[in-house]
Amino acid sequence: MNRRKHANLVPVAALLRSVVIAVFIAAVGLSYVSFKNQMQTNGNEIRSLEARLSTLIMQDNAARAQIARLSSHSYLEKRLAEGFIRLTPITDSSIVRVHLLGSRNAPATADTMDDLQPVSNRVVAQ
Amino acid sequence: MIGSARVRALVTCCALALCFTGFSARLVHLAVTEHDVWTARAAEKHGIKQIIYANRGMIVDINQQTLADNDPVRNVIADCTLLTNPDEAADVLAGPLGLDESELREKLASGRHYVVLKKDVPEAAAKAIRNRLSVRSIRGISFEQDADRVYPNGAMACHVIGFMNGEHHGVQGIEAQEDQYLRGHEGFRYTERDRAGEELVAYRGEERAPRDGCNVRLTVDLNLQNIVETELDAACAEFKPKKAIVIMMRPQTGEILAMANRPNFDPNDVRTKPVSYIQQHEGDMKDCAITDMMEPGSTFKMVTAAAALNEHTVRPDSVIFCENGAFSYGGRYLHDHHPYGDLSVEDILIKSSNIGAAKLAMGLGEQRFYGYIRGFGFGERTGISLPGEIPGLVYPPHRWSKLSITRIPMGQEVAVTPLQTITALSAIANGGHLMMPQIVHDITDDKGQVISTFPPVEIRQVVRTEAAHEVTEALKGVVSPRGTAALAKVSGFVVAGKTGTAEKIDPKGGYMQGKYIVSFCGFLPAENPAFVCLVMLDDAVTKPDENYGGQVAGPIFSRIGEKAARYLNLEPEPEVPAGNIVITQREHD
Repeated sequence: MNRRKHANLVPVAALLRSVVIAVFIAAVGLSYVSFKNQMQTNGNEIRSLEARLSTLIMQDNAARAQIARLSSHSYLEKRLAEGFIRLTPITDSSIVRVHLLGSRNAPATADTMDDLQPVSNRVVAQ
Repeated sequence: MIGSARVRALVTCCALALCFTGFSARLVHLAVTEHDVWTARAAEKHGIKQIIYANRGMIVDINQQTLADNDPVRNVIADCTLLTNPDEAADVLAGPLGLDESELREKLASGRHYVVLKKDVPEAAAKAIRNRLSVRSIRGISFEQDADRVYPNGAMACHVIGFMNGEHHGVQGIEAQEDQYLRGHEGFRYTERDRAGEELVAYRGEERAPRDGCNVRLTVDLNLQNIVETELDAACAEFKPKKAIVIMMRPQTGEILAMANRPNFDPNDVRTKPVSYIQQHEGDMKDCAITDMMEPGSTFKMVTAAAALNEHTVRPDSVIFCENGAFSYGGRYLHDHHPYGDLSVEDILIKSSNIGAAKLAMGLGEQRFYGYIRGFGFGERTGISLPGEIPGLVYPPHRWSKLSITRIPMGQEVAVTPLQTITALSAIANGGHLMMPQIVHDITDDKGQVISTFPPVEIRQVVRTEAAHEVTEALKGVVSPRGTAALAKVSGFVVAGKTGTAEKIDPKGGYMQGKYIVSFCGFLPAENPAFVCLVMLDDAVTKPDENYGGQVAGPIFSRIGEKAARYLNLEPEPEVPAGNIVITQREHD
């Protein structure tokens, strides 16, 4: 009787081990599916962002080409002829040139600039 | 009963075992033995190699103004294997693409993987089509990225910039010369797609990023180019020449500031026009400044005078007897336009005496004179970064006739390109240094990093600085009331230059009666030149007594010079300096 009772005992350890293994396998499987699903989702997102970036680059290029066209000499001259913009020529009488005597074409240097040196420079020099 | 159950179980087990063994064997066969076959088939069905296009580099002027750029467009591609209903797709696409519906239906029913339906569809139109396809759930139509080359300034500087063919290769000008830099490198990506044709990003394989083409920055200044082109158009309207050329160069560095030819063309049109149109207008597309050679005429006398002065065979004030207008040599007479007696070397240039120039060369001797001709760069390519340049034609002395020593000094029996002429005058203007003409300033990559610069290259010192200055002094006299180019003067500046009037060579031999190539090549300010400019007109329609370089090309130079001087903010010669700070006011021109 006792032996029979002993034989019918539930093998808890083995059952637990089986359950753990089953859960582990199920978890691995689900993780794998979830991971693959996530990869797919991320991939779609990457693709969508790439497409958006590509579109933006194309729009940028198109805008740059249009700016170049609209600011070209020929287009501006056409607009000028149409009267859309007006240009006032700079007359010779409005050109004033200021330079030091004897240094007509040479750039002003520190040695020749005594009379024109900014005050702040003098302060620093002192 | 028990026995039969056991037998049945055994049979079932054996059958299952056999079955699975069969499956296993088949799996091993597919996965191992036929691995390559099935991998290839899977790759063919799902795997694709995506091309990632690289943008072609831009061409810009010295101030970064765009000369050539890319306008993004799409090519509409059909994968007919993915189309479930070609008729519906044809119905949706025919209108927006402007295609014949029956032809389109035929294309879509072909069953091919890759069919180009339409090229160069603007981005906005492509987007609209994509939306319509999406609404109707039509699969199998894709939009490949592409770019149309655009030249925002139209025909301006067309011969310098060049153009491209339908295969995106540069054909002429900078587009051809710098094609390897401009082109860039396409990238690629191996990837897979699902049944709907959508890419499976997770299955991306080997990938190489594209590298955009480099940007080429020219030495050309678009504002100066505009001045030159405007005046050239006005000149062509007035004189209706067969060809006209203007080149502007910075003599100290050899940088080309502007270069224009007539006839010209709009490079935007080239891709859209049929081949027959291009063949018909091939001549218009030639950059005559470097591909045409002609006798230079009297502009060549500056070479003769520079050589004589450099060799000390004469001084600027040395007097040469000009035979009163008729010089008999080698059994033939050489004439001057007006009879002159004694002329100084300076006056030989100022009056453009043929006899005087001939005597200067005779004083040098053939070999030395030839050495200077070659020294100034005639008879060899200048080395400019443009395709198709020719070296011109200069015979060595052993091939000269007895008359050559009297004809070459006045610009006959030699053939030069306009670029060689302006390069030679630049050498006079800058104190005797022959500079290599430069058209490319630098090349930058797509991130703006400079990868190549082109510093000025001095080919050689042709003449001493003193000799160059002596020639310059004489050339100043040319643009004076005493000289042949009084009309080339520019208000407020001292101009030095030389006129040229060359008879056109008849292809059948001899010269063409009444046909001339007139030119003026000058620089300003004479003492410290900011630019050298050559104006050349081939067969200008004008009165016979006005068909001279000084009369036709001189005024064009004057107008260009005046505008260019103002643009470059060159200061006119001061009148009266007063006090420590001088305020100069220009009078109204």
